[in-house]
Amino acid sequence: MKGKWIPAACVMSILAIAPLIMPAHWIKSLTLVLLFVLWACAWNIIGGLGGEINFLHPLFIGAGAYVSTMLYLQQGISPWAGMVIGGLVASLLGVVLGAICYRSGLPHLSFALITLGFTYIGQIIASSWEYIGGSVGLMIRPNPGFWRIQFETNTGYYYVTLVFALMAVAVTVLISRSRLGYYLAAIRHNEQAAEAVGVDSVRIRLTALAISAFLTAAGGTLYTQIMGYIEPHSAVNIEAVIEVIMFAVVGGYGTVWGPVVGTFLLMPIGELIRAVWPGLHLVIYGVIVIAVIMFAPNGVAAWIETVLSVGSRPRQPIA
Amino acid sequence: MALTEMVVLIQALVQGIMVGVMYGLMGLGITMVFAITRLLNFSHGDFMALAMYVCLLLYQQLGLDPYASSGLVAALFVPMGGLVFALLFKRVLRAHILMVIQLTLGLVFIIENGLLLGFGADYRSIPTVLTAKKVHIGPLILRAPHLAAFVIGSALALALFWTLKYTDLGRAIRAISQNVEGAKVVGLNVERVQLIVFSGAIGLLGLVGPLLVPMITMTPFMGLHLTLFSFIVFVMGGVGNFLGTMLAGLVLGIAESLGQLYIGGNLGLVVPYGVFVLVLLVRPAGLLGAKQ
Repeated sequence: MKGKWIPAACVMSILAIAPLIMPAHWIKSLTLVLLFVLWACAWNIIGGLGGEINFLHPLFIGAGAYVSTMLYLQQGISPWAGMVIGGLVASLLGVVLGAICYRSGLPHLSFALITLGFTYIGQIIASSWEYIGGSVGLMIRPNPGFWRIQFETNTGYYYVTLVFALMAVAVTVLISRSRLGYYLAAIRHNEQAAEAVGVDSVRIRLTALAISAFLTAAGGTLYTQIMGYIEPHSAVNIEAVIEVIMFAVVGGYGTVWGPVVGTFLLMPIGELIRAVWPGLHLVIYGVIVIAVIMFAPNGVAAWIETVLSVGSRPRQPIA
Repeated sequence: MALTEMVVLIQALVQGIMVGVMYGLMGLGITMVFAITRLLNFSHGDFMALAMYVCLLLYQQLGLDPYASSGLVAALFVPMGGLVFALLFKRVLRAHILMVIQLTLGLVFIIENGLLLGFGADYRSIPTVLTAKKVHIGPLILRAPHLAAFVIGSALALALFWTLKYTDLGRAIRAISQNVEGAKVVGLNVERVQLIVFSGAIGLLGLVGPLLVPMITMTPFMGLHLTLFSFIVFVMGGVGNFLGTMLAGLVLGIAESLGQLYIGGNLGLVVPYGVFVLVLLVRPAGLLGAKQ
């Protein structure tokens, strides 16, 4: 355990001073990397620790984005408050949809697809509901101020996003060491066995989903503030959740650090090859993803661990 | 008035069924591959998109009609499917299912962006001999491409069911889908059958893709959506149930067609997803799925 804190401290200090030493246009890219760290960690709470393939998260991103923006545009309510309200709306949405899906005892794949179905429905509704901007979306007029989560430069957004990403990592670490985390691990390994020893799997999964939804929605609010506008396909963004799951899985499925490692590895690689081979970059990206999976089928985090042989505990097999 | 409404309804139903056969065939590819490899191929729809773009290429270079090139594309896709299976999927069959899904998503990136590089982001369509033609049956007006897709698609589906039921290969497929270990014990070469089925499924997409050419506008990024529809069909029919998959394809086609008729526009697109969600909530194992 001890071995992990030294590299963590190094990474932290690099992240803390990064905007001071790097070119301005990199800061926005790094901010988006941190945003995806937040989303990947949030997804990991239910998807990785709980072991279910859940595609509801674009709805949560959308809830955070639309609720805070509508409250700000219509009532002048601070996006900070909007973020909390949006988070609660997302949690409620998660609990309602989760309750429907969990109760009917769906097999894993059907569950995954039904969540994807809900997300598509949400995206279509968002793009046809004129009150929230329809397919055009909503604009936020630039008006810098901390209260409005708007900053003169990208550095402001960077630090706010950094704080939220760290919060998501901290929440994941806390959950993985708490009773909730152990219940989730038990459900992931064998749901029937977990229920047999008295774990209320529906309640546990709903709790994890609510927490995951809240954090994801907070990211949705941040995303809107960074971009300055939302439209249905970037808010209820299905590609984003596919990427998020890819980061979490490539990094190390079912682990705490996998999503962080995966996002920090894949996103900058994606940006780099885009700069070098524009056009071809996503093809190369796909090749890299396939190569990583063939090479390290248990994820990069596990692979690094074996190479450095940090931590002498035998690793738990992934169910 | 009531009579015209009736005709419009029947027409929408018929069109839904005709498109539904195509959805059923797309799902059947997923069902076949899943039944004997437990592999979920998220690049399924992208291979179909690839087939359609190969048609575009053949049209541009040689002036070939998509209906003429469909056999050629299928002949090309069978060995390609075998190659993809042998090089990529065979090696990860034992890995965690999410890993395998990610691998196929890697392929999605490669195919979609490869198409984008090769053909640009513009919407494309290819003229065919049947494109604007219509067939009148009584008061019903059927579009010729839909009718052709229905006839050829149904024939393909019947041929598949016949293969499954009456040939040695079909018996081997059913045996492996029921019990892999048992199939190995009685001496079946599981790997060989897996290779054949995967190549066959990709080859099937090579046939189905060209049939869809006159029915949809092509974009490099349509693959994931086609995959999603295939998966919805696959799950809604009852995982691993071949007949259920075809039935689910028809249900989805009809839902889409009626959604367009009665709601229309963007919101009408919700109907197929809504039907899918409802079906699974009422019958978690799918339309014809056995209770687990």
